[in-house]
Amino acid sequence: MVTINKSEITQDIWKNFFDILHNNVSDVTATDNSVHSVQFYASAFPDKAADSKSSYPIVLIESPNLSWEDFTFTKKWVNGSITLDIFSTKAEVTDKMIDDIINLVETARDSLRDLGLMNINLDSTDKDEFFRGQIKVHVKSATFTFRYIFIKTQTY
Amino acid sequence: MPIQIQLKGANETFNFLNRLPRELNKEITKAGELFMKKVQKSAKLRAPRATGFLASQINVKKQGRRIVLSTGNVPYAYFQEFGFTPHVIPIQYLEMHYGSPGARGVRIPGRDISGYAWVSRNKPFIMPALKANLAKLSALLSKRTKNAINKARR
Repeated sequence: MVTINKSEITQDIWKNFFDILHNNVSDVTATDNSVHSVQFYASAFPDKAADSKSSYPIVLIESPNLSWEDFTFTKKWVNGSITLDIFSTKAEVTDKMIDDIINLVETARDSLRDLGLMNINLDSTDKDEFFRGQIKVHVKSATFTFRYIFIKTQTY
Repeated sequence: MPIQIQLKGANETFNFLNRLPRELNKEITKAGELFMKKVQKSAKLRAPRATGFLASQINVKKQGRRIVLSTGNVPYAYFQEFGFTPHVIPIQYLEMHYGSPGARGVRIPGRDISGYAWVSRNKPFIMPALKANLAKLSALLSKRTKNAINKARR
């Protein structure tokens, strides 16, 4: 986990969410006792690989979206959102993993606050499914919103 | 007996009504952008991937007030989406595509053709992505409208 700096805010926020997920989400056991281990973590869906069942589940930590808003005469709010996606060949696994992730982020709110991120909220969850060759891939996404304050450069 | 009616909060109401169209405009534009980003994401996932070139070229652009989903400069995107008549192509075309996915095919002299491949199936990716996301549009719009009303109240 890294303290968030204004100059590297996008990378720092991404890194923190990556660390939370990478260190804590690994295996999920489905009701048929099959164990599904995360194959890899990435920031974008791979262009070529992932055409076999063994390539899943995949966890995606998308790059955060940010916008500014005036806070005080000397400070600005950064309003941001980050989307975390699970790709799996079993719908049950995506649900279990997304529950794990939501819970992880919720319990990490305190440590994220220490690093500078505040007002972390689950904004929405979303689902989708598509075919890659012969396999059906289930996608579940959770979007979190957050805020960050920085001291602005004074101009005339 | 005179009756006196006092209207309280008229200024706030006028201010609210003044601000509402501006806030609505902002929020609905944001909703449009968000919706297109969702369609873009779905389309990228659904796009056929041999080299990954088509998927990588799907992007969202702002053209004035319009938000456009584009497949960039991919000559075969249209045919993947809308279909084509099944036909044979020289194997060298496939090799060319794998070698440099963005480049247009170059005519190959008959004597150099080593074999043919049968091309018969297309895989639509934009319309299915649009259909999957249309169901979420009303929820997105109502959320953004609520945001606009709350912002206009402040």
